[in-house]
Amino acid sequence: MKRIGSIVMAIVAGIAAAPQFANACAMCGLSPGDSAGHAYNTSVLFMLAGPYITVLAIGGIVLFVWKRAQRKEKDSLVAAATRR
Amino acid sequence: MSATTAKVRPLIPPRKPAWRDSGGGDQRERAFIPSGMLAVLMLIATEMMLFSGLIGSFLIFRLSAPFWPPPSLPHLPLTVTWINTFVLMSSSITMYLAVRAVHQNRQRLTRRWLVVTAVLGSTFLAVQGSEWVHLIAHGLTLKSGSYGGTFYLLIGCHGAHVTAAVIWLIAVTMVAMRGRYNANNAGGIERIGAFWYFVCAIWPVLFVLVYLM
Repeated sequence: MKRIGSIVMAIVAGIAAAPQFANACAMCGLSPGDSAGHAYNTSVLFMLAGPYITVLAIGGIVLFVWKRAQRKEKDSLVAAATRR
Repeated sequence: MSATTAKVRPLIPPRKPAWRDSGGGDQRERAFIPSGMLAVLMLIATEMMLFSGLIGSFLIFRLSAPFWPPPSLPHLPLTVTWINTFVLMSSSITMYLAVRAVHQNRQRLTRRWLVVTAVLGSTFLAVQGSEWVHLIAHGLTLKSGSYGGTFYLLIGCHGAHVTAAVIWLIAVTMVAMRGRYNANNAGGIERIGAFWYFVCAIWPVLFVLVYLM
């Protein structure tokens, strides 16, 4: 199974590295004066980043709140042990 | 067993049936994020996706246009909007002070900061509204091509969110006036606080893109 996976990965890497296939992308061959094409490129990149920024922001908040709750629990356990 | 000594549920809970006793006596686990706050975070995530789509469409029009703004249309008022931005950013600080005051169980201070935040938010909306009236009088309308359309769509969408936040904040303030919020029951203020921070955080992005770029 591992060997088949390695072969598949090697084929995919080979296809990705082939320059003829890469030039088939419609947005990769934009001329410098094509403002509409560059505008679409920028917009697509921005919208591509949107979900990652959202997940990182919300995930970061959740992680921060969880760590704070863990710290409070630890402090309250230490305080309870000290009182005994 | 007090809320502070209750065991906090781990981030990734272990695999065991919920009805099984954890072995540590009758210690119950409580969620580290309340359901209401989780709902607000999901709402914020949804609205972030909405704004990223709107900003994406704005970028297409803005970057593909040879002149921006178009010569025949009025320029956006920068000075007034800078002041308005300062007003909105100040409201995020007063909201933080209100949340901090409720955690310190200082109810009068909490109510005071909530009222100040609501006043600042309403001021922001009023100034935005007067700006729009001014712009419409000078010929910039929703039908003024992509410039007018994207301006009113983006800024109007943000204005709608601020309006909803102000209405929510007024409702929370009225509940706070009855003394319902304290250090052990601060969820209502925390939730509106989270949404308020989001609305304030989105504005500088829109301001830079729409007004300054």
